[in-house]
Amino acid sequence: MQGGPKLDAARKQLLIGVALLLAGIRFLIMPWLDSQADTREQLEVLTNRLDRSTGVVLNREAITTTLAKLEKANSADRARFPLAEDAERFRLEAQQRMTGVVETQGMRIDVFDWILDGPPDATGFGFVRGRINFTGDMRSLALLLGALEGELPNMVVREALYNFVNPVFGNGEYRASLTLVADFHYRRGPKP
Amino acid sequence: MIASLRERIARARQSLVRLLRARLAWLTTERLDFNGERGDDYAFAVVIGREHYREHRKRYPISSSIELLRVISQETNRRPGVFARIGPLLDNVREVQFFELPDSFLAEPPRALFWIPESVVVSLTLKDTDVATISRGEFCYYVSRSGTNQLRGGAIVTPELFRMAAGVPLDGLNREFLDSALLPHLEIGLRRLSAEDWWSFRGPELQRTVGELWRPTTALIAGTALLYLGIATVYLHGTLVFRQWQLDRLGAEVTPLLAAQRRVDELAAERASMKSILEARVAAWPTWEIATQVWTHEGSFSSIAFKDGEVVIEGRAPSAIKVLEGLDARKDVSTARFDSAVRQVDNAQQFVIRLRHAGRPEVGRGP
Repeated sequence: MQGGPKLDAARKQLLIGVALLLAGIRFLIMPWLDSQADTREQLEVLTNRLDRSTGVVLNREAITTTLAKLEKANSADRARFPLAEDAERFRLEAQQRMTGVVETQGMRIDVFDWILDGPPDATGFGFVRGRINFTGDMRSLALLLGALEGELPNMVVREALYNFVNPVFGNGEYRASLTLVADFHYRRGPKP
Repeated sequence: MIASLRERIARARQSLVRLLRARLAWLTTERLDFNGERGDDYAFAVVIGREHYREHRKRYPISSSIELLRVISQETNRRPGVFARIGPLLDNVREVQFFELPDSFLAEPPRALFWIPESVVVSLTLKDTDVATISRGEFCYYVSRSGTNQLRGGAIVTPELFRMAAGVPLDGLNREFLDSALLPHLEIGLRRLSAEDWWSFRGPELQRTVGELWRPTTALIAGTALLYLGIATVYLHGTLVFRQWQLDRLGAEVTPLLAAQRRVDELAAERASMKSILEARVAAWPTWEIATQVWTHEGSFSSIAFKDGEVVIEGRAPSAIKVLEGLDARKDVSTARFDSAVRQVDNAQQFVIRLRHAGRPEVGRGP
């Protein structure tokens, strides 16, 4: 066929053109676009940082005041929650403290059973739940519950069940049992 | 109002159609636009009468259309006035229709972007078994759906003979178009022309323009893309430097202030946690104050249960309803109700009362 060499030359030219185009895209355009994406990310981070920084500089007074107020308010409430490295150590400590309060009331614990661990949340507050049984006369058990709630500010009573051997008609010597289910809250952290 | 609006829209539509038809031309012994008026205005497309071109067909064993276009281009040597219409691939063969315009025609070329052969346009208006007879004075030719056409003369002097020659079934419809009666059918045919056909029939002027413009156009697009990338890069880097400068200008106090802000966030979260714990802490000891109410009605209790702020008292009294009324009347009780049916046992009524503290008793005060 006539024009064969011409056709070959045209095809060669086209192939070289396509190869150059692909090489340009691969080695020039793509790295360029990647670099732009990186720069855009950096710019986004820097812009956010600048916004935050400008915000804190403008709200300097408010931040300082709020910080002082929160430190004061939290330190008072924080004292209610003992520091503990983990739930295991805290269970031992909570049981000791409770035994101490019970003994000062002249009572004793019949059964102490840990039934649940509430893992610490993002701010480090966790709890352990226990079921405790006592027996004694009605008046002593009533005083004991009040003493426990007063002496253990980190204790939250979930359930308190009094069962009496005989019906109670008034103040007097009535035998009873008390089953207490309570959460003992703590803050996770190293002891000072 | 609506009728008037519709009338206006109809009129506007008619004007638009008339305007578009004025840009389509039909060139036979004279030049008419598709409104049927004579003129030589520059047209978008001109349908070239069959009397102006020669037509032949050729088969190529080439499947690639691009490859075939190259071969045709070599064969015709890009001679102006030669149009090739490539058919579909059948048994690895493509049939190409060539339309050749004589030099005398090209000496005074029609002013239009697209030059469409009349026989192609007419064939698109026909059904598979139809044959059309186009007559203009002494000139007459036959055309079938496949585009095969033949000038009247020699052995082919009737549509039936053309059918036999072209392999069209004899029982089809013979259609006759005399002079300008063909115009509406040409409009229908033009609408059915495929994009490939439009491209095949681009006029020499358009071919030249495309040939001349594609390189600068491509260069312009590539240049614009590169320029855009360049501007975007400069903008991003400039803004980055500017933001850093703004940040530096805020001074050294930013770092401790950011740390203070983080500390405020931590303390606020801690406060929320402590608040939720302390709010859940409802004192259980006031249960006793409430339960002793039973005694004032000569009653007794056998169990007292406290659970999540609710108190349940089980007991007996001469009148359970009086005990309930007494409990309900207390300020520190919000709701008191029987939790199960009251039963008469001997001389007393056995009851189960459920109640809730009205307020949140302070924890730690003790009984």
